[in-house]
Amino acid sequence: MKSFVAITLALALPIAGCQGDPRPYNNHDLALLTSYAAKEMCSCIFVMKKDEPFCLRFTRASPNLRTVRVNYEQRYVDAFAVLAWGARARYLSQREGCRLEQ
Amino acid sequence: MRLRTSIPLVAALVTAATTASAQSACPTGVTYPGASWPSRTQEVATQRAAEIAALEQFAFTLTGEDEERLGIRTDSVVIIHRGAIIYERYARSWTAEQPHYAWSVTKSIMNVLTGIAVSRGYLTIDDSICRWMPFLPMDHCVIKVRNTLEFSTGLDWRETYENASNQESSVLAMLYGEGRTDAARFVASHPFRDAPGTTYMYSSGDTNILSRAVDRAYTAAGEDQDYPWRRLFDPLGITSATLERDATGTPVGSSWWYATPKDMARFGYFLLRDGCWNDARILPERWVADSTAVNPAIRMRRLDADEDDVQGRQFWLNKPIPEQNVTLPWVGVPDDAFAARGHWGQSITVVPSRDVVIVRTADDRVSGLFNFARFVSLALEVAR
Repeated sequence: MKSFVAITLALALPIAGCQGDPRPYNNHDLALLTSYAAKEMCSCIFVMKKDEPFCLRFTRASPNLRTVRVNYEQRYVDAFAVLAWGARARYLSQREGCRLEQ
Repeated sequence: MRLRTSIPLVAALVTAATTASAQSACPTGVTYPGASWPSRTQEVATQRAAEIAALEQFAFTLTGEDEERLGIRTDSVVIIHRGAIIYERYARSWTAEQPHYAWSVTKSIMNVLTGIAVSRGYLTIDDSICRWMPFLPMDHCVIKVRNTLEFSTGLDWRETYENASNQESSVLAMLYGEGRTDAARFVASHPFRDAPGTTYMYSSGDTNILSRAVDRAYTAAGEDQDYPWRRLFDPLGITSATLERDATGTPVGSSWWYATPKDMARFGYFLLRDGCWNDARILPERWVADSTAVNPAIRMRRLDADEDDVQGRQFWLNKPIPEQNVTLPWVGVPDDAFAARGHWGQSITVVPSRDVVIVRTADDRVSGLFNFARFVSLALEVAR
C-alpha cells in the first residue's frame, strides 16, 4: 500500500507542479481534471444526449490521464486519475441536469 | 352603496387601462411562434442559394480530424427572420432535438431572470448584495446588484479558462475546484481590486453573485426552484432547457444553461420583441434597452478586455466606447445588434433593425480563429 501511495504521488506531483506559476487556489490539477471530466461527461450524456465516444472526445483535457465510467442505470459518471483522484457527477433531472457530488 | 360600487368599478377601469398601456408598449404587428417555429426555409433556400453557400463555406467547413480540434467547428446555425425560421443546419452529429451547452450565453439568461424579478418587485438593482447574501463581510455590502450586472464589482478575479494556468484560473476553481459547492460564496471571498462601479472586467464570478441574489429574491418571495420555467422558459415555449445548480441550489448562472438551438432562438426572439411574448410584457419597459446600452463602468475603465468586448448588462454590444478609443467592434454589422455569447463560439445574436435572430452553437477550441462579425454579416445576407 505504501509503495502504491508513493508511486501515485510520484506521478501526481510533477503534473501538479508543471505550471511553475503562483498558486492562489487550492486546486490540484488532477482534482480539477476529474471534476471537469465527471461533470461535463455527465452533462454530455444525460443532458445533451450525445453518445459516449463523442463525449469522451468532447471532455478530453490535458493532461489526458482520466478514466471515466458511466453508470447509465443510476445516471452518474465517475472520473478517476492516477488512481488516487476521483470525482462523481450525478444526473438529477432534465431541469437540474448534472451536479458534482461533494 | 353607489359609492362602494363605483370604487371597484373605477379601480377595475384603471387596472384595465394600465394593462392596456403595458400591452400597447409591446411591438405591434408581429407574430410569435407557437409550439414550433413557422418555416420559410424551402423558399429561402431557393431565393438565397448563393448567400447560403457563402455562409456554409465559412461556418461549416471543417479542418482536420475531429480529435485535432482545429479550425471553425460549427454545430448548428438557426436564423429567424420576421418571426419564421429561414435557415437551419446541424453538423458534427448534432440534431435539432439535442440540447446544446451555452456556456456564457447563460449570463444573458440571468439578466432576464433579474429583469423579471425586478418587474415583480422581488429585488431592485440598487440592492446591496448583502440583502441576499447576509453572510458576507460588511466591506462587501457596498457591492450592488447593478455592479454584478455590469461586471463592475471590483473583486479581484481572473477570467481565464483551459488555455492558461489551471491554478490561476478563478473560473476553473469556481466550477470544478474549491468553489464548486458554493460558487457565490467562493467569488465573494475574493478581495477587492477596485471600488465597485469604477472599473469593468468581464467576470463569471460577478454573474454567480448575481445568480445567488436573484435566486434568493425569488425564493424569498415564495417561489420554488422552478421559477426559471414558470417565469421565463414556459411562457416562451422553451421545452428543452436545463439550468444546472451548485450544491447550494443556486443556478450556475455564469455557464450552465442548455437548450436546443431553436429554443435558444426563442430567447433571442423574446429580446428582439423587447421582452414581450404573445403581446404580453414580461420584462419591464426599457429593461432590454438599458441592458444593451454601454454600461457606465466600461466607459470609465476597461480591464483585461478583448478588442470586441463591449458590454451592456450581460450582453455583448456593437457599440463604440469613445472614452476608451474603441470603435464599432463588429465591422459590417448594424450598430443596434447585440448578442449573448459563450465560450467555444456559442452565440444568440439579435439585430432589431433587420428583424433577425441568429443562433450559432459550436465547439471552437482554437480561440481567435472564428470571426464573429463576418459570421453575422454572412447570416444577415441570407436574411436580406
